[in-house]
Amino acid sequence: MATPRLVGWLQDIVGDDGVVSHPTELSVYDCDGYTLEKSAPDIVVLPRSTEEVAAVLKLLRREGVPFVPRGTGTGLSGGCLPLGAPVMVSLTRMNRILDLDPVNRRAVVQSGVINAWVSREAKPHGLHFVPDPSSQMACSIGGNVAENSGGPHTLKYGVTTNHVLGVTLVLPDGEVVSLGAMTEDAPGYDLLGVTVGSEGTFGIVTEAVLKLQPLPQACKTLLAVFDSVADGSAAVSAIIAGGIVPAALEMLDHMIIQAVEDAFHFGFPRDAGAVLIAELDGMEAGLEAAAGKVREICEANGATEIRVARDDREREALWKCRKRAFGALGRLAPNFCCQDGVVPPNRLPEIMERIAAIGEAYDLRIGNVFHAGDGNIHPILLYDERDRNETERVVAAGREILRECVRLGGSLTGEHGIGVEKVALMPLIFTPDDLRTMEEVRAVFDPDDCCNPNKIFPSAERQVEVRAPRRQAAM
Amino acid sequence: MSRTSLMEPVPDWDGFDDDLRLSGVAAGTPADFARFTIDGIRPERVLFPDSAEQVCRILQSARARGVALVPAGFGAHLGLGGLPLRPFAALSLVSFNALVDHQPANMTVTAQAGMSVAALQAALAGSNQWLPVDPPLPAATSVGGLISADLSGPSRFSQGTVRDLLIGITVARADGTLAKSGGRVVKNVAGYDLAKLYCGALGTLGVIVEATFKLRGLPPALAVGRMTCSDMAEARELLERIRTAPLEPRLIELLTPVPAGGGDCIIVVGFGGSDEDVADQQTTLRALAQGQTLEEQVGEDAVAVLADLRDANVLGEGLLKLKASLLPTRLTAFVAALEDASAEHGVTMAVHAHAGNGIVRVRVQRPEVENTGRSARALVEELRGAAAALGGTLVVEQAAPEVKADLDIWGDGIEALPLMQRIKEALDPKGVLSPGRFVAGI
Repeated sequence: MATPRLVGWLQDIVGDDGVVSHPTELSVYDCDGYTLEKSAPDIVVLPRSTEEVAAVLKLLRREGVPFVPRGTGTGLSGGCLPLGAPVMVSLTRMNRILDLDPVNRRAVVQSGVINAWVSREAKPHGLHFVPDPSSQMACSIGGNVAENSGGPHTLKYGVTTNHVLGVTLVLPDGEVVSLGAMTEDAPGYDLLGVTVGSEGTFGIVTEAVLKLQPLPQACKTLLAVFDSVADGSAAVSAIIAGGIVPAALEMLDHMIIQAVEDAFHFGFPRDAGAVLIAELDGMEAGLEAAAGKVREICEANGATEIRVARDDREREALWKCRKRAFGALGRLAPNFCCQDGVVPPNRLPEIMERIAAIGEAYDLRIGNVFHAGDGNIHPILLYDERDRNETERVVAAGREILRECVRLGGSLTGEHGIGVEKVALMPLIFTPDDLRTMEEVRAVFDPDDCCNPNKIFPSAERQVEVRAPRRQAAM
Repeated sequence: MSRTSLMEPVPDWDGFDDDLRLSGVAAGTPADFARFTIDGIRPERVLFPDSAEQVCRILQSARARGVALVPAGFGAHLGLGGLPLRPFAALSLVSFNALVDHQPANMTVTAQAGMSVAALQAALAGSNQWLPVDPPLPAATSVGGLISADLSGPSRFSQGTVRDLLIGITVARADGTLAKSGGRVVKNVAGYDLAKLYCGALGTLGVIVEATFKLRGLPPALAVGRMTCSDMAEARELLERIRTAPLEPRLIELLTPVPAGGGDCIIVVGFGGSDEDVADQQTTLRALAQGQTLEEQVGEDAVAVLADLRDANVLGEGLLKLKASLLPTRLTAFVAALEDASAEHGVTMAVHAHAGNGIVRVRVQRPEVENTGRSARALVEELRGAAAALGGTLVVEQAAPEVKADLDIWGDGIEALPLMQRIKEALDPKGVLSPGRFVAGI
């Protein structure tokens, strides 16, 4: 497919250095953070502007070539796996913050801008961009928009869709449209709202207008230690039921605590069954009282120890441990699959029991690190991809966990998306009429099904079976 | 704007009536016909389905019989939107009004579309929770109407709008099938977030039958401070001080007459939270407001002030009600443009802005414009031009029928309009739902 002619035409648009077509270099693009399946594109094109993206898509349409957009590849559901899409459009060179308006609390950024850069630039103005996925040091805003990403602090403040006012979208035919606006309440249908979280199936988002929030005036971060995840989960339910909305409520189980402690030496008690990080923020006045209430609830639910971060440095160290928990797992196994189910928070103890049982039944090690406050769980299934049987068990166990989430009234994904990973599971929560409605909307944006094909929908005619890796990574 | 096309089917009302009789759908009384009259256009039928199945059957029949339907709740906000393009049946969901599932421990609630916002809030208050929106006339606003008309109030500054709180929705499609998106958990990205599409769509894409929202705890303490400024320059300066002060206001409202001097220029700031937090913010506000009069209310008195603010725009008299959306920093420049227009057109206006969001509501009050569509149109065009020059938009939220007939209430130059038209064609290909009521005659 990587015809020299197509490569040449693409080079005409983006320059010689903007097209990758050598097989060795393409292997970098053969998966995102979901590594169970791999597939390299034939060509990667790296435009520098909306105009170049539009010209690339016009060319691809003329040639009838499907494509897949990609940010920095930190996604966790195979959302940018190039299945049936020979060309990948990488937005990493579109990485400029175009405008920062502190008074109106807005930032206009290109989609390749890294999430953490926005808050870094906004900080001197006392502002930040709220959605803070664990990968925020590496993930791109375009990817956040595509996946409607969350993060620990979205419990109180909402996810990406609540913090984006507008996007520039290049439709699959190359037309450039502006959805939403710099102002609120733009007249017409909320096409922006449905584009956020559409997993790159509507076109390519090249720019976004982001809402910035004032940094909280004060912050109190507690670490509560429990003998078991069940005790910690009960505390979480009690905190929420008590009407307190912490800025974040994160839990790590025994396996994750050990991995994190080995890697970062924060001082977590190694024998703890679970730790809960509870962060409260807001006005200084009243914060102490709220923190006291959280402490009481944790103690009433069996917390064996409670520590409070004494200063910013301790707080930052704690969050660093939480956000780098995934990386620390490299110490435990060559590969891991991070699942992304959701349950109503009061069902957390049940789902944790089920996950433990599933781990035993499939003879797999499963750790848990999760956004406890909103019921978004991340069971982490450890495996070695060289062991085909183990890999297959990981896939089967992951599905069983998600089925249990659905059974408990939850969902298949809280923030990672359906991608290719979960297409086959969509009928668990959506009827054919539900899915048909979504596909009708998709067809408005992408009538030829050429933008990120084979994602989200389990349509019979293009069923993608996700199972063991099609192609093992180089060993 | 497209008007009735020759291709449109002649509605078969008799057949429609037969279908409804068979389905047992309740019909309205004469008073109901008045309630669901839109800009002087009476509905041909008023229907009160009591289940999702009945809603679907009505839709199937309407589609087959060429009947247009306008989904509604209590009818309180039908003044929003364009003139109905064809004779229509009003489809009120107020008989379909159960609270389906409230999960206090998970901070979620699912309600049927016909439940009133007031009833919903009352039910939630029992668990010290609320749906953090404050639309006008909550007792006469249904959950479906809240979403369809994208209603909001002063609290949107801190709490967001209904689109931020809606986590799941079930809609009867124009073809009479049910389709849902989202779910009942607060964090969920499975499938497209179609709930957003129905927000503010004025019932043109489907009939909302059920919605799930995320909730907040009711703040234990409430306080409002009302400050009177001598002019807009002073108001602007005070707003700037409030914006940069160590405060977390729940709302920031600006009320001013145009031309200036016709009354007080008022800023209202509200706080909600713990007792300590609210008391602390009140102290800060008092320090900020030196030089202005500051009236403070707390508790139930504050609730009453907020209710007045919430309802002011729908209850106030006015031939013409406009809504401009601007960057917050452009607010004062827009008020200056309003001053110019008022002098030129000989009208007075009442301005009510969500100052922190840049949403400005303008009520044109002087009767000279009454019944003179042309001059109302000139005024709207002029103000729309002023909003556009400041990077914003302006829509007409309410006007006399003859005024609406003479102008485009939504304005032209709507971004991505062809996509919107294709969305409408995809989801309602036969134009059954609220024809003519939405942008560009959708």
